[in-house]
Amino acid sequence: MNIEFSKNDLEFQQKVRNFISKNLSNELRNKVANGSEITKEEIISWQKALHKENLFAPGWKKEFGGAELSASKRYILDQELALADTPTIIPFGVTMIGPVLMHYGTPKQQSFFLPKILNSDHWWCQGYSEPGSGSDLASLKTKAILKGDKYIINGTKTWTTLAQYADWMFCLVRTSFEGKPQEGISFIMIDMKSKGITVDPIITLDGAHEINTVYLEDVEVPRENIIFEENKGWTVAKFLLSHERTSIAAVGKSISAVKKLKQIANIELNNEGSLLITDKRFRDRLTTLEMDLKALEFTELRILSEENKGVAPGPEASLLKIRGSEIQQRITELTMNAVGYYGISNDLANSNADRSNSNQFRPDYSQNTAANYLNMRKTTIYGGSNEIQKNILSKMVLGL
Amino acid sequence: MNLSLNEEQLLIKNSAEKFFLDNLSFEQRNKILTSDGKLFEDLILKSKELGWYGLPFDQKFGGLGGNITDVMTLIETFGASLHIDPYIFSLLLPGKIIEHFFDEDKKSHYLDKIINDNIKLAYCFAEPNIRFDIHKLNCKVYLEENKYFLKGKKMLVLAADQANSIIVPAIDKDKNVYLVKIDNTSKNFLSNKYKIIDDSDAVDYEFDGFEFNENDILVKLNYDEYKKKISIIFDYLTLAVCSEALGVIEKMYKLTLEYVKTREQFGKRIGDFQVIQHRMVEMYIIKEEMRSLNCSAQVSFSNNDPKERIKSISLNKIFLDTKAKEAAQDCIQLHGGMGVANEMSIGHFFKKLTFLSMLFGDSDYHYKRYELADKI
Repeated sequence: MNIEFSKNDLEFQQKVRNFISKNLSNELRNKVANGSEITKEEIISWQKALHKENLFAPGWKKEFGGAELSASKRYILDQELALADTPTIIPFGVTMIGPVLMHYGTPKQQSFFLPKILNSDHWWCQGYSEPGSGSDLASLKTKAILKGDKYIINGTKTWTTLAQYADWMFCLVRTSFEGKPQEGISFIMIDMKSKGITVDPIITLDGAHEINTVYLEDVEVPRENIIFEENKGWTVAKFLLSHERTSIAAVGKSISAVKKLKQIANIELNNEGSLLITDKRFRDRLTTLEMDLKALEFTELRILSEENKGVAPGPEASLLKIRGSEIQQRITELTMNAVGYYGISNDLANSNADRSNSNQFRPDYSQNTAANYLNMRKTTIYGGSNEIQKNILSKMVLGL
Repeated sequence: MNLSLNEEQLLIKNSAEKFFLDNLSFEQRNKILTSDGKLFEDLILKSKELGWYGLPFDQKFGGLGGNITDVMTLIETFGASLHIDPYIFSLLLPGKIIEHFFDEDKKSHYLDKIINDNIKLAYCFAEPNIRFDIHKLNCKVYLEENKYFLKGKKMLVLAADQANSIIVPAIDKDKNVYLVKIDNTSKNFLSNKYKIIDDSDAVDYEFDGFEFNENDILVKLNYDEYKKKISIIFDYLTLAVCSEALGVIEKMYKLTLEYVKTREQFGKRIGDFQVIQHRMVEMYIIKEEMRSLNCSAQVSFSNNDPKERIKSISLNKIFLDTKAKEAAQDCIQLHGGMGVANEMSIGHFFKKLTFLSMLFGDSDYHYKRYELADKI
């Protein structure tokens, strides 16, 4: 048992580091580090730069233009990108619909969409949840009625992340009301420029506009945009969900956030005037967090190592989502504690106001602390809430 | 023994709840927060007609002479309605400072002004680099050629934005503490106004050799005496914070219970699932424990036993920053996506609770304070 990287892996690591130092501006790095909003343009140009070096789609097969990297190289890439404060890759294209198209898409769908995903020419969003269908996704009501060679789609999708930027949406729709609810669902791709689509912002607790409600009113979608088969969308959705569960653990991001938290604790003072990092109570909490993160990291590595042998991740991957999301939340909570009173300012509202002399009063590292804490509440809710993940584990793994 | 509210207290509670029902629904609150300030002023004036500003102070000074339970009962209703008057900071804190520190003449003068006139004061309790320890003062007073100067920083001055003057505590080289009254509109120091997560405003100040008049010294006393008095005041204030948080948790519990009773998934109410039922029961127990701890702190105040008071207040604050905070997080979780949408009120209660749980010391601070008090 070892996790020593081969010479080849280490060369790859160096290549990634060189790439980052050449392509990531200090300005962008700082924005990512203090949790400021990254613009659509910044994300796209970063993703394009990654693609140029063939680092954007490490898990994709070579025949589709991917890098087909080994599990250890993918792990290295994730870690390096997270530790260097690079912008988070938007997963809806490259890690979600991409693998779905490779697995279920027709050659025509593949040749049209995959290159545009690779080149970040298409921004994707995910049309799953509906106002009445969250955890119980199979109860979704958005209707697609076939009329000639087109579907006419009506319904409402919600919590749709960054739909305001999206060119395309992959969407679960109801094409049949017969049988079990899961059996009447189809997986379809919708051009966001189609007539009848309205995107309404939902402002979250931190004051940011990240998610949306998407109204679909008599939206015409060509029949060929369906993936796999009509009424087989649930199979596609389950395939996608298992892919999402592994990436949703955010191990690299959490390692990077803990590193930042430690830096803060090496500057901030405790109530007695000593460095916070030497405060026993704080330190114990930090260590507990690191213990859980280390366990998560090696659980992910164990799953990756199986994957290296050709074993696809099964329902066990749910545990990565559960613990990964909890850890993300706990880091932001402990960071709130670390920065003390700096942590309760509403920085998003303040960044819109005139704050010409604010830097004099507040350290950079305290920026957006509350916003991050509030924003991370979503992690145990999205991607299949943790309650649903526990149901999956209990049913599929424990056999209860 | 009697730990329930008396008739008068029930009257305070019921009339406050009615006031908020009529004047501060979630929609009305949003409207006031996004308007220019006139609606806010109207709301405050109306609330003053109910005697809320006089309640915590002696009748001798124009107050209503309410006891601790009267005041905490009122403040709990603020939490349950997300009241937007920063009452604890614009009235209670400066009022208690005046009551405990000022001489009789000044006491009458200033208390009358904050209770009955529209004069507002804000007290600067926090500084950078001292974290939550209100006893520490780094802000300095010094004399040069018979002139007084201030040097240092104050942060998170709540209700400062609306205040006519701020009261700055500072210390000189001989360990005398001065409470200095400073005109909030002066341009001779730096200030930075910002929003905090519960939608209220705070201001940070930096005094870099700011000159003030001898007349602006409201109080001068030695440091040990200051420490003793400030400690009692902030115990009272911390209990007020915990009482407001109790109102927040009660309301979050109610909203969440209502939600799990109506939200349907998998063909039934999510409250029909046992895992949800157990979490709701846990939340119910937590809010009851929180109220019981609040009672214990009120009793400790009346008994005039400083050690018991300190311990009891710290237990309340630890509970708020640990168990109540977790319960609040659970309320968001059980609301699912609705819980993180700003248009729902539940998230605003959550933000208020997040703010209150840190204010006047997080659990780390109060664990240590409890330990120290237990040793005496």
